[in-house]
Amino acid sequence: MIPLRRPPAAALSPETIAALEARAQAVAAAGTSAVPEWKAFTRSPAYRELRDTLAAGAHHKCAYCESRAPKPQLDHVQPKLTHPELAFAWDNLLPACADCNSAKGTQGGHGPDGTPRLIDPSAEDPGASLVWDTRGFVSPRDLPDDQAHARAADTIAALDLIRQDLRDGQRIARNEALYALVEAEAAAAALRAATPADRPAAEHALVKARAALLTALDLARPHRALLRQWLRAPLVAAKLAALSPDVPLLSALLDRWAALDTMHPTR
Amino acid sequence: MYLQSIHLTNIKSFRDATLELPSEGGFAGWNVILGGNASGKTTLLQAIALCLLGPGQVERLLDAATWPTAGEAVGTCSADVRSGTDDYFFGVASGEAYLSTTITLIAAASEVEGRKWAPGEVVFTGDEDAVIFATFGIYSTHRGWFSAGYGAFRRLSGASGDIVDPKSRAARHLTLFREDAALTDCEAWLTSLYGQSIDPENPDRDEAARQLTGARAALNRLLPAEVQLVKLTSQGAIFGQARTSLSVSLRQLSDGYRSFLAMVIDLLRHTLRAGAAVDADGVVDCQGVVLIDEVDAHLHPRWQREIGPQLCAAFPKLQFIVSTHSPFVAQTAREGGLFRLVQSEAGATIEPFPERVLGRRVEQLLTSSLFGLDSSLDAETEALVARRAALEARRPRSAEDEAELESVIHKLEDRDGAPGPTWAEMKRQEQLEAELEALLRHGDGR
Repeated sequence: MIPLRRPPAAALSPETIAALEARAQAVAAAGTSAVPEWKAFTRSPAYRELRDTLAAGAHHKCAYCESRAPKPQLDHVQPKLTHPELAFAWDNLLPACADCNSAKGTQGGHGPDGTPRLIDPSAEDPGASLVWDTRGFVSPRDLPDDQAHARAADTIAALDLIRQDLRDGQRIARNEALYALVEAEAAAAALRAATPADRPAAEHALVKARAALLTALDLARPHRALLRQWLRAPLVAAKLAALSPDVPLLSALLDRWAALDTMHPTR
Repeated sequence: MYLQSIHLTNIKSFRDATLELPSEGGFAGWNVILGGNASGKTTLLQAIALCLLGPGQVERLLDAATWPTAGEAVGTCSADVRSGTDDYFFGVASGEAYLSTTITLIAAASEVEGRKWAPGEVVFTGDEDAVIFATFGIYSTHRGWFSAGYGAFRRLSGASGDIVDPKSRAARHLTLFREDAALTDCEAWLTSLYGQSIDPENPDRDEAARQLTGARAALNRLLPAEVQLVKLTSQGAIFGQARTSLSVSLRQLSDGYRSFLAMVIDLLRHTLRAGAAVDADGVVDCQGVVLIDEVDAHLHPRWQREIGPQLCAAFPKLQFIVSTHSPFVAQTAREGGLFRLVQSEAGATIEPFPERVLGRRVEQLLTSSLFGLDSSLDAETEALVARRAALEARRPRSAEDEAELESVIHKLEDRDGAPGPTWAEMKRQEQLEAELEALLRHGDGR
């Protein structure tokens, strides 16, 4: 889970915004469950636009587990069963994979101090309270605040974030970046040491290694949470900074990673 | 002919179950039935054979009295069959017509359509059209109406098929019903075809030579590249193994090759005998239904993944209905052609698996509802992972909790192998992580 910027509601067409409002009013007027209304909505063109807009905002990944989800389900951050008034609220919807959405079910709600019980990656930095080990296993960060610890533990349990495919995915993503980093360092060093005759081959090798590094660090790819944590390790950060002159676009890409840290105010 | 659907009522564990095969773009293709042990896969394939062969052919193959569900006097199998352009009726091509046939198996003396039947009898029923269609079409000896069935044991040697006339249609399904039956004369067929093709006295010599060329091409396209049929003599078939560059006879090949060859040579023999044409590339022009029980038996996983596409390429007009335990075979099912057998209190049912499986990884299939594994790791390791999560969530943790957590993490370190869909990928990941240890001696960024 990494911080997620929700697209502005204005990204939706006026028709879809109107459809959401009409549905919300219908639920409010009936004063009953939002479930049938939502079910009918999922068959409308407005739903598809809403889904595709939210999916594009999350790079077509699940907002929670970061698995690839080109056609995600829409998760209600506060469940539509307990919060029918939020069933059609833009701020309450996140794209989610079928596994996370079904694991979460009707879990949600608020803690004793009024904060949402589960972590919402579009409203806070999940990395502040979750930590991944090198095998991709996620656990609550060791924070002094008991309630923050409980929220993290609840989120992991509610979404079943210790699934094997997620552990593997996080681990592979980090390993790929490591591999690309080592290769790029070697290629850059080889080019510096190359004789004029070897230069064309060494240049070609560096071009390939650069591309592999930029791909491995692409924010749009799945399972970035462990990788993000790893990029902050002083040694890794120093190595990447040292490579920046040899790899055009790398510093711009690292700025985008850094922007994740300030995307949401700290809770 | 092709099978469109079959409905079983009170047949062994099937109280009320239907299999509806996909027909989009034609019936031909690779249909896969998954199920655990004793889930009824063999019964389902046998029931299909029963409907395609008719009562006269199968009475000697099975004990009908044991087929109805315990406590029931009768059980029925009803099939909807679509005839194809290859199928002849009164000596003329039947075109595309439908036939519904119902086969009733009797466990206790009962009355079916006004006649009394004794235990063990097999009864065909249908309206007047169905009776005519059956008598002069599907259950006749007219050309076409091809079907073949292969059981889980496909041996080259063993008891010969003297239970049924080897030229009868039932003979093509014998191993599906009899574990001890062997597909014995496959090699003899190849050598006799060779003899016919060089016999100067044989007026059909050219036809035999053409069939032989096609059969060789078909076998070589079905065999993996490392084992190929290199020579055919009057003594038998000689296979070359790429790895050892040794030539061996059919009987010297390993179990996997032998049982596979026994089946495909048998299938070639029967399709060609039934009048199908084979071209020089080894593509056999034959319509019909082929049933294979436990198609993955003896096959290496890499071959399991190829067998479906390869058979469909060599026999593009056949409708294959196969049962398997293997995710590799399931992976190659045609769209809409993957089914699983589900056992419940109310009896076994046949459920289509609605999602596409082509392009899925084996791990993904194993963890889907088809195989029902949450994880492809062993249960004990997954239990440790869950225990670790439970302990990490606990606050405050007692000294015992801390000690247990440490021991669980330690145990997991030994177990949780590197991820990756293939062995090579796993090894690559392991090597990467070893390098990582060296690089990140200063912590992992926590």
